[in-house]
Amino acid sequence: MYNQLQRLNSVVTFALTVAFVLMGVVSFTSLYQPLDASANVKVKGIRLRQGSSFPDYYNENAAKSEYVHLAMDIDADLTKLFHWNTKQVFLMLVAEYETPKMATNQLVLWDTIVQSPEDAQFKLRKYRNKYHFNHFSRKFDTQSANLTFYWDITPHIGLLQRQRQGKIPMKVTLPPLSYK
Amino acid sequence: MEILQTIKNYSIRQMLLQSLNFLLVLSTAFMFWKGLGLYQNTESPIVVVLSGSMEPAFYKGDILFLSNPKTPIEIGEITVFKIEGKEIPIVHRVIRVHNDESSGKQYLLTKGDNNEIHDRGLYKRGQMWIEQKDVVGRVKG
Repeated sequence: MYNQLQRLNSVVTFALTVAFVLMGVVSFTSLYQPLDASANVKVKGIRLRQGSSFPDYYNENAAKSEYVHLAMDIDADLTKLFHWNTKQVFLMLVAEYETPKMATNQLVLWDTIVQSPEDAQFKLRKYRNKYHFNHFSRKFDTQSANLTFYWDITPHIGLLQRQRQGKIPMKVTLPPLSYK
Repeated sequence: MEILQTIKNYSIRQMLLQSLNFLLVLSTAFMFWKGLGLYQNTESPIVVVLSGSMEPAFYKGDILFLSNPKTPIEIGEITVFKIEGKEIPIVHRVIRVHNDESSGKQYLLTKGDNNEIHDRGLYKRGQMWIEQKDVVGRVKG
């Protein structure tokens, strides 16, 4: 009545259906996982200088631009963000400020990829910013900026989840320009 | 060869019916694709990752679902953008956002998680920023 091909066909179809239903269940349930993590930053040193201490490629105005150089203490614990559907957590430290011309300015100063809960705790001391902290134009048009942590959970399957640190962001006052 | 024989035995009417069925399957798939694109406001609602520059978030061959709402792009979002004059879209994360209030323009800088430096080397010569019009889609999952 049934030949081997038909049997194989029904087995494969059933397996695929089960796999897709399972994928749906996993991606749906991971949306309702409790997410809570802590991240803190303390600014230990800040300097505003003309020109960067590390090369700013493709920026023709680099020598004439103002750059903020930071030394930061970063403490973070992202262990609780890891559940069965977490592939990685992307942690970003973002500087945010306003200027009269530009309504919002957001710059990633430091980021890291965390792939396992064992590596999810950070205690960095006097850490320098990894990316350049300079304005869209050459000079900063503002006196202060906020530092905020953002993280982005990449799942194995399902929707990306973005979150920002709920605590009050840290205020940084830009010092006057100093020369070398 | 049996199949060829059965096809030969078909009348013209049957042949036409078969090909119509086949076309229907094709056009359904195409309509589904375009409909999804219209709903998500992007020209390609589903993309496949081509390079390893976003590892370990996305590996080559991973499938991404995009949407492209009008709202401003936020920092840390993963966008798919096309550089003028280049055919291949790029999937990278936004690491800098400058919103110009007077013109409503957004100036963005992107970087692949797995790359050492940002993407200005991939942009057009002398291009410092990409704008919202360059962005094809924003990765949702």
